[in-house]
Amino acid sequence: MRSFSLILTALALAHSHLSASTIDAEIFLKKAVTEVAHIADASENSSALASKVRPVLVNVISFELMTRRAVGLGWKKFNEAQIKEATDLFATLIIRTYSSKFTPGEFPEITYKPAILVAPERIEIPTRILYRGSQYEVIYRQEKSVDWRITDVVIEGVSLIATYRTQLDAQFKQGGAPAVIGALKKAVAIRQ
Amino acid sequence: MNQVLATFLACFMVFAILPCYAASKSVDAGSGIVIITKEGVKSVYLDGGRLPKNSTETYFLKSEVDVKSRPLSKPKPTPSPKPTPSPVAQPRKDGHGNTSTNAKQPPALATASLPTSRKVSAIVKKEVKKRKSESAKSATPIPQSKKPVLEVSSSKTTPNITITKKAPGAMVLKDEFDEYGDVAGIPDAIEPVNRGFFWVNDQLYYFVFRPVSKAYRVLPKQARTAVSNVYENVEFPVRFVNDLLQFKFKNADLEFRKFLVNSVVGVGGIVRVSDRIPALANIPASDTGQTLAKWGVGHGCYIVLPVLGPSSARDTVGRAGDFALNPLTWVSFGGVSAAASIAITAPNAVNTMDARIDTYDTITKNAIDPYQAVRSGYSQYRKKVASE
Repeated sequence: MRSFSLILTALALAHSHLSASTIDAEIFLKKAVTEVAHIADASENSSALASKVRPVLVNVISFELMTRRAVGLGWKKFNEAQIKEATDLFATLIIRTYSSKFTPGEFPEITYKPAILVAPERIEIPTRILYRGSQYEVIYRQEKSVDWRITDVVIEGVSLIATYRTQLDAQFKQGGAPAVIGALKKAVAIRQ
Repeated sequence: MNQVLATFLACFMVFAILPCYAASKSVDAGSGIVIITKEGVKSVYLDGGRLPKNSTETYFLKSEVDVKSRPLSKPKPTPSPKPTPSPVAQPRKDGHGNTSTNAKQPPALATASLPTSRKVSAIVKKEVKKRKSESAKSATPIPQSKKPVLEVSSSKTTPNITITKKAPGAMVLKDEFDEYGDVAGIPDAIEPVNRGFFWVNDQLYYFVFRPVSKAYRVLPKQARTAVSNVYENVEFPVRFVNDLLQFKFKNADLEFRKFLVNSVVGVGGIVRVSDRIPALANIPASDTGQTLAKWGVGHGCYIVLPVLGPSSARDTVGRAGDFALNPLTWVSFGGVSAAASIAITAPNAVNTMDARIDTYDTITKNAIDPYQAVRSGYSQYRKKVASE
C-alpha cells in the first residue's frame, strides 16, 4: 500500500513537472510568435520586416544549434572563426526565410494545439495557422538549455533545417567548411 | 486539346518514367541493406552504391544470409579461396554507374565466408521488437555525456557491413550533429535530366506564370477565393474515391457531407460554408499518389515534370489517376469544343498556378541550391501526406 502511494506521488510529481515545463514553452512560443506577427502587421514592406524582426528572433531562435544541425556531421571540422561566420550567415537566411512568410498588413489567426514532449527539455508545439485565406499546419520545435529556444519550424511537414541540411551537406562534401561558407555568402548576397 | 495533353502525358511516361525506373533499379541493385530504428526497419539508400562514410548506424542485410559455419577469427587456410555469394564480394556500382569489386580490401577478406550460419532476418525482427520495448520503457533517457559503450556480444564484420548484436538495455542515441541525417529523400536517378526540366520550369515561372499570376491578382480577393472554392468543390470525386480506396470511410463520409453542404448552401461551392462547421473544416485531402503510398508502392525515382514541377514515378502515376477522377476531365473529354474545354479548365489552371508560385518562391528564394531545396521540400511534404 505504501509503495503504491509512493508510485502515485512520483507520477503526480513527474506530471506536474512535465506540465510546468510544457506551459513555459507554450507561453514562450505564443509571446514570440505574437510579437513577430505584430511587427509584420505594422511593417511597410518585406525587406524592412526582416531587419525589424531580427532583434526579436535572435532572442527566441537558437541559430547556433540550427546551423550545426543544418551542416550535419561536417560541423565537427569547422574551426571557431568558421563556426561564427557560418552561424551569422545562416541566421540571416533563416530570418529572411521566416519573415518572407509574413505579408505586411496581414495578421495570422493561430490555433495552438497541445504540446508534445519528445524528449526531456525537447518539445514540439503543433499549430494551425489561417493566413491570407489558406490554412497551414506549422510545428515549432523547441529545446531548453537555459531558456526555451526554437530550433526548427516545420511547415506542412517540410522542416526548415532538413531542407537546408540537404543543400549544405552537398556543399560540405564538395569543398568542406570553406564551400559551405561560400555558398551561404552567395545566398545571402542575392537581393530580395 | 485534352487528347493532346493525354498523348503528351503518355509519351512522357514512356520516355521519362521507364528510363527513370530502370535507373533507379540499377541504383538499388546493391541496396539490400536496412537500419533499425524504433519506428521499424528502414531501407538504406546507397548513394553511389556505398554506405555513408561517417555513419555510426548499424547496418543489416535485408535478406537472409546463409553461410558456412566457420569463425571469422580463424579463417580456413585455403590456397585459392572461392568467391562466396555474399553481397560483399559482389561488384558494386560507384557514383558514375561503373562497377567495381572491392579493390582496396585484401583478397582474403573480400572473399572470406561469414562465420556461423545465421538468419539475418530473424536478428532484425528480434532487434526491432527489443528496441520498441526499450523505447516504451525508457522514461529516463541516458544523457549524451553518459552515452553507453555498446557491448558487442557477437559481431560479424565484412568489409562494408557490420552485423552487430547489442547488449540488452543499451540505448541507441543519435549523433547530436546528425539529427537530420535521415531526412526523407527520393532517389534522384536521372538528376541531369531533372535539372534540365527544372531550369525550363524556372524560366516558365519567371517569364510566363509570374506575369499571368500578377495579372490574375488584379481580381478582387473574394473573386479569386470563389474561383478556388468552386474548383475545389468540383474535384470532390478525387478525394472521395481515394478516401474509400484507403479505407478512410469516416473521411469519405465527411467529404461527402462537405460536398453536399458547399454545393447546396454554398451555391455550387462558391462559398465554402463547411469552414464554419468544425467537423468539416479540416479534412485532409486524399489523392491517388497517397493511395498508392498507402498500398505500399514506393516512390520510384524523383522526376521533375515539365510545367507541373516536382514529382516521383509513383506520384506521376497518381497524377494520372487524379486526372481521370476529376470531373473537369470528364467534361472536357465529353465532346465539348476546344474553346469550351479551355474556358472550363483555364481558370483552375491559373488559380493553381497562382498558389504554386507562392510555394515555389517560399522554397527557392533563400535557397543555396533551389533544385535541391525543392526536391527536399517535395520529399518531406509527400512523406507527411503519405503518413496521414
